[in-house]
Amino acid sequence: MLIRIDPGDPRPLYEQIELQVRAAIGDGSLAAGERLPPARELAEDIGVNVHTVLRAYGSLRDAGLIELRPRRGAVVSAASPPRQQLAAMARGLVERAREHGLSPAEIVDLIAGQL
Amino acid sequence: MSDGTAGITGMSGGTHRGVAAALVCGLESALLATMVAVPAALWSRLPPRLADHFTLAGTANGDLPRLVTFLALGVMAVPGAALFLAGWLAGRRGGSGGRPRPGRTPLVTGAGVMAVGLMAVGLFLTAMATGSVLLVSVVNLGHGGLRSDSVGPGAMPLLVGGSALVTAFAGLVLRRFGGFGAADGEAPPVRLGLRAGERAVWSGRARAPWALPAGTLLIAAGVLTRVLATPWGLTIVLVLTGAATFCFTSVRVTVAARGVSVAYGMLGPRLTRFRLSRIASAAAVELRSFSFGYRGSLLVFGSAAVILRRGPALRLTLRDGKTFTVTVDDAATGAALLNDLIGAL
Repeated sequence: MLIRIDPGDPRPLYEQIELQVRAAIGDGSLAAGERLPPARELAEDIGVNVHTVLRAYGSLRDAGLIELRPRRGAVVSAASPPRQQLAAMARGLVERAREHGLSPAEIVDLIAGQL
Repeated sequence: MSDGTAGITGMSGGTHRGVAAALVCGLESALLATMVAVPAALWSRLPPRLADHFTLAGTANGDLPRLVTFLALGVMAVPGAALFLAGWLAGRRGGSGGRPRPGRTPLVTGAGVMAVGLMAVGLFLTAMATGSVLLVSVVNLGHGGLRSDSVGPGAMPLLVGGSALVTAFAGLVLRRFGGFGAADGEAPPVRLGLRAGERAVWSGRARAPWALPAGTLLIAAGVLTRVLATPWGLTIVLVLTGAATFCFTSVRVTVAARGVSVAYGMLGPRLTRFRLSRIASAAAVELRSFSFGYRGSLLVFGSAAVILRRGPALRLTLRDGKTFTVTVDDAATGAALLNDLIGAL
């Protein structure tokens, strides 16, 4: 799983982390039962405050995508609802499409073309 | 070796590889020649029956006719010579088994490693057989057959140790002259393309495919021993072995600004760590079934590796010329990030 933090991105740092974890769960690169990096370690590696990572993890827990367990840390939920997984994948797709300069209408057309 | 065809014998690897291969081939030939020459030279001075079997303490406890003894020892050398030949041929043709698949980095170290591994095992077996011939010849020289001959308790360790030394020498020659190391003509490092100020971390995992069933089986067997009321010692051994199987058969690799760390999967004790300043470049390679000739962790001799399965692996080329390879999923992303981080130093 790759997590990139861009200080020039208008989105808050915690949201950048959250989106990338969502995308990793969505595309299957993070499987159910896998542990996310410990918050302190991740914060140190990407140069953010540990509370920023904890906020992202909290948001993912609220969405039912991960569980926060004492000692074991953040673990991908065994039963991430399929709809949530699809939503995570869609969100990742939208992010990538925006990065490539596609407009919302073009993104919708892209998906409609696959139906 | 980006075309996947070069081997350890210098087809495109330069003079040094040819010299290394010639030296090692010469060593194998010399061992085989010694096996024939020594009995031939001493034939008339050896008794008709030779003490050829010894207890662990080194006392002779069996004998055979002279010809049969040397033929039997000669047969022992056949698997060694065959493995050596297989390794040499694998090295000549690159050993990687054909063309690289499109979109994948061909394995550049594994072919050489497999060839060298086969040659090393072959050399070891040949050295053992030759050592046995020498030992039997010397012990029986001038005697009249089976008697209270003793090779002494140090003979077996000497035989194994000497063979290991011969093998280690050959390994060092091949390593020094290009057996294991990074290959010639590698593709330039792939980069992720981090923007200025952007920070990133990547982590990937790999698990030995047999670990889950094997660990489960061992722990289930441990539980069964309680049902059968066998001694506790057996239960403890089975459960601990099962737990160790789970713990030490998966790895987590992390690439970040502080370097590359490799930790065992479940409990996470760190296996090794490389600071960015030690790494020259990184690449994703595709390991085939027998690319490395072994599965496990080997952190010695410079060309260290943690090999748990076939498939994608991250290979680091260190600034001192050594390499480190670890099997991990999505190694391409890890390698690309690492090349970015190194480039930013």
